[in-house]
Amino acid sequence: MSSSDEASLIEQARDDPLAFAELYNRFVKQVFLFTLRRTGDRALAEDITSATFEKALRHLRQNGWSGKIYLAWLYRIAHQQIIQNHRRENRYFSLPPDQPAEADIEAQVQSSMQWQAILRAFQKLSMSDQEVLALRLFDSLSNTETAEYLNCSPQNVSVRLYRALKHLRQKLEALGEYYGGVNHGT
Amino acid sequence: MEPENRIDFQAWNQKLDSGDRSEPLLELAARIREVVPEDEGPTNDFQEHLRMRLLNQFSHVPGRRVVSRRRFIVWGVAVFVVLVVAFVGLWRSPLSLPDVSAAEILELAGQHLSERLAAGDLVYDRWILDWHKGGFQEKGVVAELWRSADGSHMRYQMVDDRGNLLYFDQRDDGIVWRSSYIRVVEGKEVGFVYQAPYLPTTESLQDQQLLAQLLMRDLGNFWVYIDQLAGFERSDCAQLFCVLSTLGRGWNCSGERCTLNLGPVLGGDDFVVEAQAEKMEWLPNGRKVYQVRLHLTGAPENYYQILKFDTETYDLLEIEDYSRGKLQYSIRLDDREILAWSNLPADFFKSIPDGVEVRQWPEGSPLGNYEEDRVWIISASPPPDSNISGVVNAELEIGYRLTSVEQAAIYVGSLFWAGHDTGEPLEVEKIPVTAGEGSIRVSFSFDSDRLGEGEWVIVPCFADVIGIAPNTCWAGAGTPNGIYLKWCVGCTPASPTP
Repeated sequence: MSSSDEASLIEQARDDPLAFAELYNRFVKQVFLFTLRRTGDRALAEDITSATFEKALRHLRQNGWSGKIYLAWLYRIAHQQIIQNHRRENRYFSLPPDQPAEADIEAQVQSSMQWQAILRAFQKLSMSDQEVLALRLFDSLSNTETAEYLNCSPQNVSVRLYRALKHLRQKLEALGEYYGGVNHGT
Repeated sequence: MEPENRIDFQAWNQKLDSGDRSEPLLELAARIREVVPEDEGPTNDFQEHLRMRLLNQFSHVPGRRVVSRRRFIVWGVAVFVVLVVAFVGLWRSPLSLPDVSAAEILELAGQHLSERLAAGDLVYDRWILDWHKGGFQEKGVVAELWRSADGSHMRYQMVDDRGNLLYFDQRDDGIVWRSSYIRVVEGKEVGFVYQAPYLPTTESLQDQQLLAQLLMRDLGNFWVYIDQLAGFERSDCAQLFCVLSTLGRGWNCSGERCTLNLGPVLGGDDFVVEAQAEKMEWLPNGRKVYQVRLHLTGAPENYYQILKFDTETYDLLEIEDYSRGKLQYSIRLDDREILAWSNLPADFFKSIPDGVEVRQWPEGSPLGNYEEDRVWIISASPPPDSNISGVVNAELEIGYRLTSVEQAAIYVGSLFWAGHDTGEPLEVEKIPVTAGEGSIRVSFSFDSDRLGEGEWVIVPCFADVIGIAPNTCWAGAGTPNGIYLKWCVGCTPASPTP
């Protein structure tokens, strides 16, 4: 769907519930995954997804919408909800439970450990680094979409992304044993 | 890029050092998506539930025009509205109320149905029934109805999700075939149907009394309270055309409340149905509906039915039946088609499902004169007003006068708890009788310790045995002679006469 089609649908959705339902159908899965990947809790992800669309509905009906990328806007609403839920925990992402690994397959164990290592390193990043990486890694947003979400220019996203990757590498190195052991042959 | 089991961090570092950020990023993303796959999306139930909730909220959230208008509304008007709303005791948002009355909705639905019938030769409806009564659950029962535009041909059948035929009712312009049943959904598979001449059946179906009686049965548990007051046996009929037949008739409205007087039923009091348009809502399939609440005057408030009508076509899309405030069953329209005769086999309205026996109905049965039928209790042991406890061995002598049909059965189906809306089923055989006057004796036992304290009433009635008015129990109310039999559980014994 082109951006003009999407804009037209969004304009319709101000007054036409079926158009809003169409918008909902289009984005509910992505919003849910966005929240699930950040909370690691399906029930919480459902609550946040519900709250996100309810807020979006109210805002759209009363004030309309004039952004460029609707999904990025939904993500921002969801992000605010997640922050509210996680404010006390002072972190953005929850570490999901250890992935079940079949003990007799070393590669899978290592793979699982590597995943855990990445996530741990990820969690040690600043909120700003987590955010830009997550939008690109977890949510598959393009540079332009990420820029819309972060309210900055695509060039700025590239810079932030570069810094975040650099920081992630540093954190992985700091974890030491696994990162060095497996990949550097020590 | 295909996800890999592991990231080669050495290569990954080198790529980063070389200034290539996109490939290391993709590698990480692929790895992450492998562990947190896309198919962990929201469940269908959640999506549907939220979708419906949002659609229902849509009309409650004021749009831009409403917001603009509101800027010009003075506070005094708002206060006035609040006071009016508070005064009439509405707890619902006025925004959700339909702008038409229940009578208009019902009449338009009736007209629409007629137009649809007139638009083609035949109408085919498929309905899905979910049943949740008394711990018994049956989901996905398919009820199908074929009707000809001129009313001469009809087939109605219900089949459960295992393919068992639960009910069969069919007529062409000369013959009617109908299964006899007690509990459509919870009962047994149909083994036979009665075959009868069409004309007497038609006349009886057009009779106001029988129509009301059928309606009473068809609304299922909604009418149980009245059944018990009148002494009718509990019924679980779920035919739809009877419900539809009430649409578009002579409703009287006063404000939001509309009433339809069905007149005296079987010699008893008038049956008055109340209808009220309650609100609009969205169904999961995206159709917007008016909700009309049906309630029987005199019945407790928590016995009612909700009918849902499409706001554009006025099609009846769903019926929900509530007893004591709990959903008993729901029926939703799954499909409706206008057909031509050529779409059906030539003998469609004459064919009987495989394996179903056809039995002949005695010709010349004088149906329709129910008001002359009477059943009454001549004597009882224990006698009326006795205090009872433990296992009670009861014996009743019951008199009757049967004029409406050749055959019927005397039936004592339940003990009714006076002042409550419940009864206790009795294990009592139906006693067959033929047209005329006479008396019969019936014996039965029950454990009164299982009954709540208070007065328990017995009202016998006639039960249908032929299948022409299935699942009915009549002549229990308004019996002019005989004794009023009530027994008492846990009552204080009367003072001995000095």
